[in-house]
Amino acid sequence: MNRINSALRAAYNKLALPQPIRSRVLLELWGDMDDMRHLYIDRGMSNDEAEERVLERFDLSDGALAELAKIHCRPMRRLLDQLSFQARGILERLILIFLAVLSLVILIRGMMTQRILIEAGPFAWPVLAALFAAILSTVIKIYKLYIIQDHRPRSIRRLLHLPLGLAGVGLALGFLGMYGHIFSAWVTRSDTIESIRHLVAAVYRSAGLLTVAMSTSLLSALVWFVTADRVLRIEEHEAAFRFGADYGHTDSNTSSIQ
Amino acid sequence: MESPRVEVINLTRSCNEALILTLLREGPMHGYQLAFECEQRGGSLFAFKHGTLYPILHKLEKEELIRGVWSDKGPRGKRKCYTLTDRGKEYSKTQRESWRAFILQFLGVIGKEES
Repeated sequence: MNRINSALRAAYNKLALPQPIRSRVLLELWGDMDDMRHLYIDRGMSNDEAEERVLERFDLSDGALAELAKIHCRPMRRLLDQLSFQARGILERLILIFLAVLSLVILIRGMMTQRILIEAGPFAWPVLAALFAAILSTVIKIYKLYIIQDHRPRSIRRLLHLPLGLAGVGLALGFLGMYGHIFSAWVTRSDTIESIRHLVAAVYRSAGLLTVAMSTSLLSALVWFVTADRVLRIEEHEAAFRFGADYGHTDSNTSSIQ
Repeated sequence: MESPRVEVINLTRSCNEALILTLLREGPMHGYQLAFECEQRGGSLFAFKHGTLYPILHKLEKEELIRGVWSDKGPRGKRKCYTLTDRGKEYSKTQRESWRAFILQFLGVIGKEES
């Protein structure tokens, strides 16, 4: 499989697609090439002849790779995967850890005094529910990835991006609640002092709610990062194990096909 | 989903899509098996290279006409196998009719010129 692996390694480094798509495309090709090689060997060819024939049939030209890249290049998925790649640098990791600790401290302090939740109003509860769901799904994912080590391609990505989606939901609820608080105070306004006090209280509640929403969304996004990064690494190792590719994403020195 | 019709501009691509969908009507197949079957049934006429095959397969999968399923039950590890979806079955059926109509029209033109 040396020549086939070399061809796939070259294709892997050229194919500018986010993970796991890149690994999956190449793993599919690898599997089919391997099966075809065995088929030719069963038909009486030597290993070298079989490899040559397989490479001849599998045209991994720049044009073919560009076609594949074009098909799989979905902007949203690409962005999500790039987010976790970018977070691999030391500086980014430190920033993320700092933000995680900061938001956790703010959230816990607020909850300890219970003021922030009271001030945030009823909208804070669905935001917290979104955070709880994000943490729960991450715990399940971590259990599957680290404890029972279920790395099957079918299930490894299941619910992976849920915490990130819930972070978005939490943030949207926060803004919706803020709008609700201020809008209700605004439509019932009058020229009385009580009304102005009511409006100020609404702004105050909105600030509390946004603090909760932003902190929980940040935490949800961070717990997503933990599992997303792990999954990407597993998929890259799998690709490297299969055909000895240099795992890591395409760098600027490598000619890439898009 | 667009109604299937034979695009003269993309005749090769349309032809390859029709071949793949028709073969998958017979049951699940791996990518290389599809290429083999095409070659065996159509002779060298349909021996398309795999570099052409996979973009078509992935495009059809994106359009939900076929479904790629990973399996690690085989003797040599993980492999991807393709099956036709219900949508794909319907599409393939109408596409076949479009091809028949296209070929008849084409033969009609050829015939006129000969006579």
